[in-house]
Amino acid sequence: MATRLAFRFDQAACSGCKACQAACKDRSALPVGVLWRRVYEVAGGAWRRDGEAWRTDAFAFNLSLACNHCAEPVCAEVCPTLAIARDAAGIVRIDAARCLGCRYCAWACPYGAPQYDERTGTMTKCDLCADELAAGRAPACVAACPMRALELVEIDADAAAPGAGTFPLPDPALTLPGLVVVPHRDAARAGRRTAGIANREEVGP
Amino acid sequence: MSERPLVAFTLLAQIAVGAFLTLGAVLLSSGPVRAHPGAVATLDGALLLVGAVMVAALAVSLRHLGSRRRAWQAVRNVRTSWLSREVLYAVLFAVGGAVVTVLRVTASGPVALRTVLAAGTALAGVALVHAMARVYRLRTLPAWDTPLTTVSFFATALLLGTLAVGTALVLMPDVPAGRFDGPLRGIAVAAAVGFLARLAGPGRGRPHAARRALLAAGLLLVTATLVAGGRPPALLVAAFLLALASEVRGRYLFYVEGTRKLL
Repeated sequence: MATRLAFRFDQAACSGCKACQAACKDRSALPVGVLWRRVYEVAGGAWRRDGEAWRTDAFAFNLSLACNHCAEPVCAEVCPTLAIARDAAGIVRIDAARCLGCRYCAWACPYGAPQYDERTGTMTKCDLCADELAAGRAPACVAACPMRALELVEIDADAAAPGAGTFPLPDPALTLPGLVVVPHRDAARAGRRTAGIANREEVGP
Repeated sequence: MSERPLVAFTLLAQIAVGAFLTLGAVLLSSGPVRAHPGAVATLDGALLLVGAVMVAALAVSLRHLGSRRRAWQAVRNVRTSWLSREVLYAVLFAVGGAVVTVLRVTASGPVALRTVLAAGTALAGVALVHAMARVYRLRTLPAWDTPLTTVSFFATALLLGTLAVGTALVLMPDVPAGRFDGPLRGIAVAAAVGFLARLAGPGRGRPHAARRALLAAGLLLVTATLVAGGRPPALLVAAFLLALASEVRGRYLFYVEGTRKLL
């Protein structure tokens, strides 16, 4: 069976410590405003009056997200200079020497993966810590997770990744992301009710 | 991130394409214009202005890039990227337009060659507006991924292109009196269709209120010129300014609303 690499994220196990986000930023010395991995705080619900009492149905959980190295990467499809390509290992990479910095890939990617680096005038993104993988080690984000909520796994190359459409993620059929999400118990509720990103000022855009 | 360079590029390029097609339509449809060398010279002068607008569009588009030195590489992915195709059609339209303008202004080359080149340039212009819309019709951005994006872009080209030519014909010096009465009426009718198309198009709610009020005011002005038999022609200039202000606001909102994503 042909397989491809995927991040597996267990929402119930994640404590929201953001060690993955910090490890990624630290390892690649990313500038202010660039986060190849972001931890989104998804929150919703409210306090509601029930007779003389006030009850809450508020909920919150996390979503750790980087580039999902999609099987059908829309970023590569739209890039006007062929600067983005999926290599033999399934890693979607940006060739900075070819990048115009037009930011079209940032519009196209539904996961916010390609990000603009003001210093170089080019787009940048997660390369799955390819050098670490080549040395037999896990990507920095996976290695840093104290809860083992984030892992790198192999999935069936042809099958849809389970949970990859969990709110607020887009329809995985759009790009076939390498992302498996074990949903939080409130994830389905978040999709049905008004919920949003509670830490927008931290993760952008 | 500021999308101002893209607002300017898309609007200027759509003005250039709309105006090029309008000038062609005026030349082809108006016997009184073709019969008067001074009137034809006026159209050639307007063609030079169209070239200036397209050069400005291409120049301002570079301001959106982080690495402008690599701009020439933008046509590498015509196989799958509508952005590459847009750049290709923009260059074809600009180069074709430049050649046609030089041949006309210097009165060189056989008429058949100039006609074929002009038709090819017009075709490249239409392809450019189509590609511009397809750039934004990404399957991952539902707000843009609709045929209305294409319809809106062509409506903008029609509206601003016709009124830009109308404004040039009203304001340019030494315009032969009376020769353009017919074409200006045609321009007013086409502009009215453009105003109606933009009013019927997407974009509702408070952010669009001012834009829609400007469109309605512009529609009133072109209707007034038609009712008054094309008088006073300055109304077309006012209608152009209203349309331009409306489209600048509309294109700004297009980017703000289209790129709003959850992640």
